[in-house]
Amino acid sequence: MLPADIDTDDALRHLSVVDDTFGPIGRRRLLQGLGAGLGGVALASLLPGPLGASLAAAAEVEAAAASSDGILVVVTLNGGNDGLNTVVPYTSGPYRDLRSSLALGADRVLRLDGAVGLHPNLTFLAQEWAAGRLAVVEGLGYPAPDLSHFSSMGIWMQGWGGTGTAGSGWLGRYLDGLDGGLLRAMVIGGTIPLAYVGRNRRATAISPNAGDLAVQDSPVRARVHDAIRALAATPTGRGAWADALARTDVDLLDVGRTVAPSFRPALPADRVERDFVLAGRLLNAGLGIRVLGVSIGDFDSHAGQPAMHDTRMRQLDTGLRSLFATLTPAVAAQVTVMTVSEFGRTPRANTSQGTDHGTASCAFVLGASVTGGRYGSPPSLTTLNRGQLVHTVDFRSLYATVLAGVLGADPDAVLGRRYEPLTGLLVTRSNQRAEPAQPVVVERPRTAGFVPISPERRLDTRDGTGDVPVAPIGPGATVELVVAGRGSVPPTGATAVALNVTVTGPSAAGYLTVWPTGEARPTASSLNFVPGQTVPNHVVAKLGAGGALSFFNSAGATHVVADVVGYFADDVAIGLVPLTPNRLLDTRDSASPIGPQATVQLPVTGRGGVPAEGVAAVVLNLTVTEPTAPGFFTVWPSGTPRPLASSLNFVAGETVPNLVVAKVGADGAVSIFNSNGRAHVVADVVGFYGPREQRADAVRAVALSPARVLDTRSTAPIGPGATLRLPMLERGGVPASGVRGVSLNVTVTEPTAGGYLTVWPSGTARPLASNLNFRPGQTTPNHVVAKLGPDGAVAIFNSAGTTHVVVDVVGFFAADAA
Amino acid sequence: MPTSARDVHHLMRRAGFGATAAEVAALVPFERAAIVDRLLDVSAAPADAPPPAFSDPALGNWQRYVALVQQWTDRMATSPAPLQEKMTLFWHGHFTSSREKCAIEDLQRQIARYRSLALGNLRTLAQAMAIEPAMLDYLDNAVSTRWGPNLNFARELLELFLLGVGNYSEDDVAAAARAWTGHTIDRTARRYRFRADWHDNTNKTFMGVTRNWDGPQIIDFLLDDSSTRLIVARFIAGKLWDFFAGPVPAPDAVEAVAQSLLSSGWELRPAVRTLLLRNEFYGDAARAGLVRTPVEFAVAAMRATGFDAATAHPEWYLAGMGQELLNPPDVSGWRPNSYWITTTAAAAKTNFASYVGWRQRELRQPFVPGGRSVVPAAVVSGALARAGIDEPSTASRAALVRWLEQNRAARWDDWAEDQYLAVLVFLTPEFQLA
Repeated sequence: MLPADIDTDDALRHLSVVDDTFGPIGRRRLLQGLGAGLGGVALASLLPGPLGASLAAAAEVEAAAASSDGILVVVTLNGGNDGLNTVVPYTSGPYRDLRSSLALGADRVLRLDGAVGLHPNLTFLAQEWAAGRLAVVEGLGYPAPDLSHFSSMGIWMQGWGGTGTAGSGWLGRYLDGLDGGLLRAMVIGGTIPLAYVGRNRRATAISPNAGDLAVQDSPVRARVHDAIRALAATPTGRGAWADALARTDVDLLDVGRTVAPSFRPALPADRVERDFVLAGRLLNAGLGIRVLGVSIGDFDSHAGQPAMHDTRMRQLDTGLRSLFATLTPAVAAQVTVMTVSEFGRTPRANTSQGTDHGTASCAFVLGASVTGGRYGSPPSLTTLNRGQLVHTVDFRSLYATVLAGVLGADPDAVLGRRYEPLTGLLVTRSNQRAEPAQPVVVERPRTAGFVPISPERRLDTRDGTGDVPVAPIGPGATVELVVAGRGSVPPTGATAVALNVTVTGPSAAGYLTVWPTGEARPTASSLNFVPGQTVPNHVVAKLGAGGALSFFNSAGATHVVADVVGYFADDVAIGLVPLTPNRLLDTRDSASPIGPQATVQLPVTGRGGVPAEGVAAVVLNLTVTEPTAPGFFTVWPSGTPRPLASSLNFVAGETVPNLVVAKVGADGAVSIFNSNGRAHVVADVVGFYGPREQRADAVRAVALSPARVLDTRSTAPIGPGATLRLPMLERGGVPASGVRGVSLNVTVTEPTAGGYLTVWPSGTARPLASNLNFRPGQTTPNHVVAKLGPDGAVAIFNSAGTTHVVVDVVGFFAADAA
Repeated sequence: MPTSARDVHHLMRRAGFGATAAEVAALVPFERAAIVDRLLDVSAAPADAPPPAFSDPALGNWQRYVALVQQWTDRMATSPAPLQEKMTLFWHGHFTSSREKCAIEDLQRQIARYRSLALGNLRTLAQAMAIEPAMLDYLDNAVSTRWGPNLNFARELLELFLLGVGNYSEDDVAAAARAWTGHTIDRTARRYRFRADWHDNTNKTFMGVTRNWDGPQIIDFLLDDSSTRLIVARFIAGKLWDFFAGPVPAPDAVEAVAQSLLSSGWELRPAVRTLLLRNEFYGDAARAGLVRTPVEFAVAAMRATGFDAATAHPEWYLAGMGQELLNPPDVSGWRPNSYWITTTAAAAKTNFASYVGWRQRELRQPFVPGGRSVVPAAVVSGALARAGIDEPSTASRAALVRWLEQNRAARWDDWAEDQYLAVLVFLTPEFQLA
């Protein structure tokens, strides 16, 4: 048992873990001091579950779909901040009497109203108060307060109101119920306080002193990183723990690479500013962070309080000011900051010009969603409990307020019982669940032929391309894009276009719908995303009024980029011939990834079922794997200038598939360009566009209202190495005969391992090809064009783990009657 | 009949800190039981003495701590009786104490005590553990008096050390605490002392038995009474199984070890022998089921490079890896497997490996002498063998060979070969598994 009181640093060290991210932990013994009757909390299972980027949620915490776009920044003031000299009752006689020489006079404080004022160094907070964005919560504490740093800090960090000891922190339990990866919760520093440690997950610690091997700054290190990735590229064959170890080493590189840009330019030298500026940059980077923790210490002012507390207040104010100065306006709009401290201090000054451990204290909550004002109520200075203030608000009510109001979580589940939130403090956020993947609404004219073009960028909200505002598309907002009469798309005659649409930097989970301008927006999604993801998808959309398309974003704010790769027109005699997938390229075979700014030529004609002549475009399933840096691929006709367009986007270490329709160059090849780092590319041909009248097996595309034909969530997932046969005839609008192929939107969800799906004609040999790649826990969609087998079905093969699969049919290819 | 090299490798990694191909080859001709008996024979273990730094009054606590950690990791890496060191490490993580509360000299004596009794009799070990000054301080029994008994030691004795959760009541904890009052430390002489005036000399009811219980009798009761001895045996057997084989379900094996403890009167040597000869221990689940703890990782790296602790400085990185010797996160010690698999631990391992690689370069002591005259495949094979990896996977070998080829092909960068080969070897999943 630790001594009754140890100093702040030691208490912190006992309440922190030096590691981060995964692994169930058992910290029950840690909080021994919190009370009798510890039966011991059951340790979480130690089985090697799916240790991918998103662990399964703890059973106890079923947070509501946490897709609100709020970000919570928690600033911990370690050591017990003196609330009475932070939010000062400057007119109170008892305050002056109790505090004697430590009292702050009415002439010094920054007045909030006729009763309280802020410590004179809190000038930024005073500005926020004037702007109505600062909430001051007074009287925070808990019943039967403990005056040991260790114990009280433990109580505040646990934030638990249920029976027994939680052995976990309130933000950790929130994290347990959240999907997503390593970067959902971050703390600045080398250790993770218990508050951020859940039963299955914990925050990632980002040390402000980056500069070890995980930082890639030279070709030498790049090669070492590539080798580390290679060690994890395939299952080790040594069991789940070995795979988890290999995966973690790669995650280290991914995290390092992801956060490395936030360290440039150099951070300020002052420690507090450094931490807050880094925090701001990390949030700006759009990594999908929901909770970020920063600490300031030591506030334990037993002696010499005036100088020490003045410094701390200045540091707090400077820190918050730096944070908001760093945040971009879009991100700042999502951020709510709250301060916490493990207790207050004695109302009466001691004989060493200081104060001792106390009880009720104050907290600040500030941000765009905050309704400024005073909350809670100031503790009485005349009715004390053995010389200590009596709290008026349970600190867990503040937790409940931000859990619901900022994070969209279920506070009762996280905290173990109901605590009344502080009403009115936060503007309520509507919780939005990402719509389940629904396919593209496509209306392809019955006899339309396809004209492929070299990709042309037509929309980019990052720079206004497309005559759109230079701004991300906000929640529920729509942007219109004129497509006809621009670039290679003729002003008349084009009835639909094929696009590669990419969202980047979405701030919330949501979906994008692309549909003809002027028509009612359908309930369907062209693309699904979660915060921070860059997601590409192939979209075919009928043009609306004025030859324009509308782009709708369901939640948060996201940038959208669209490249036109071809258009459909009635007078064109080029049709689609779907093929059994055939692998044309896999750079892993020769161990030569495409380097940065490098291009490879991919001959496509005369191979894989594609004829030698008369091919206008090929339809490829293109997959990037093991990219060492964030970047994109461009695919365009060989022998022509490279366009500014992207066919596929990725971040380091990600495996991303996309359906790419690529016009073929005069030499029968397409070029594939890689923008950054080194990446492997796998290309499977799944169809081609050729002159209709020359091909007996050419087909015409028929669009359908999207219809769900498979959802294994209502039956059973597909196991590893298993194949599922999916009959397609007479389902979802597909006729009983004359059907050569189908156009599907395939989504995997809840995969337990990293793997791929192959979709191919049922009853034929399974090709070595992949239509969709996924990582554990990652919901991944892809558009698939699949030829039907002789039995009128397609087969779906899953390579690893078990996964659910959802399939929507959006069209079919009928034998051309022309 | 001879034992397969594969089994010898596995046994040496779990019962020790690994073995080179030559060491394995020397053992292959023997029967499995004979090899286990050789491991259990710790008579060649060197004498145990405090590190020289302890006698230097100019050195403070931190320096003494470093000296002790370096001495211990050196011993783990070089002792001819590695099983003794493994068992010491086991008891250190089971009957825990921490330098945060204990004097470093007391901890050294505690570890020496564990080492000498590691494969002896559990009763003797448990009784000795209870009155070690380090334990008396760590769990506060040194300040437990009859008028203010401190429950900490009694609770952990029952919950964590011998019985396990759910096998006793709060009243039993209180009674045991009263029984242990008065067992304290003579602070001047820094050794155990019994103070009768502090001791509760009255009747207490423990596990339904009312008598004038004294502390040591509590331990004897748990090991002797029919209501508790089987529980204790299974509890300890389970811990040993998890430590050597991994948290791999094997109820029959655990039961066999428990029965050995009971039938031998709590002798640890035959119990460990039973464990190391179980078929389940050599099964695929056990082979793949345990992640190397940071201490084992560091010691294996020291063995692979031939560096002593003063050269490799494991104490700089062990805390970052999550296992600071002599300072477990709390009294329940460390936990296996997923506890070690975090990105921060991976960063610490990477940095440690990078430092060791730098030293290899600086001291011109590569894994495979001959430099560039040796083809990459041979360098990689040699390095993996030095690291005690008997069955590198195709993927690991290929990844390292490819890296080395690319590195050599790059101009000006071949210095990196000496620096980073260690990093990649030590980051292979094969090296990180126990």
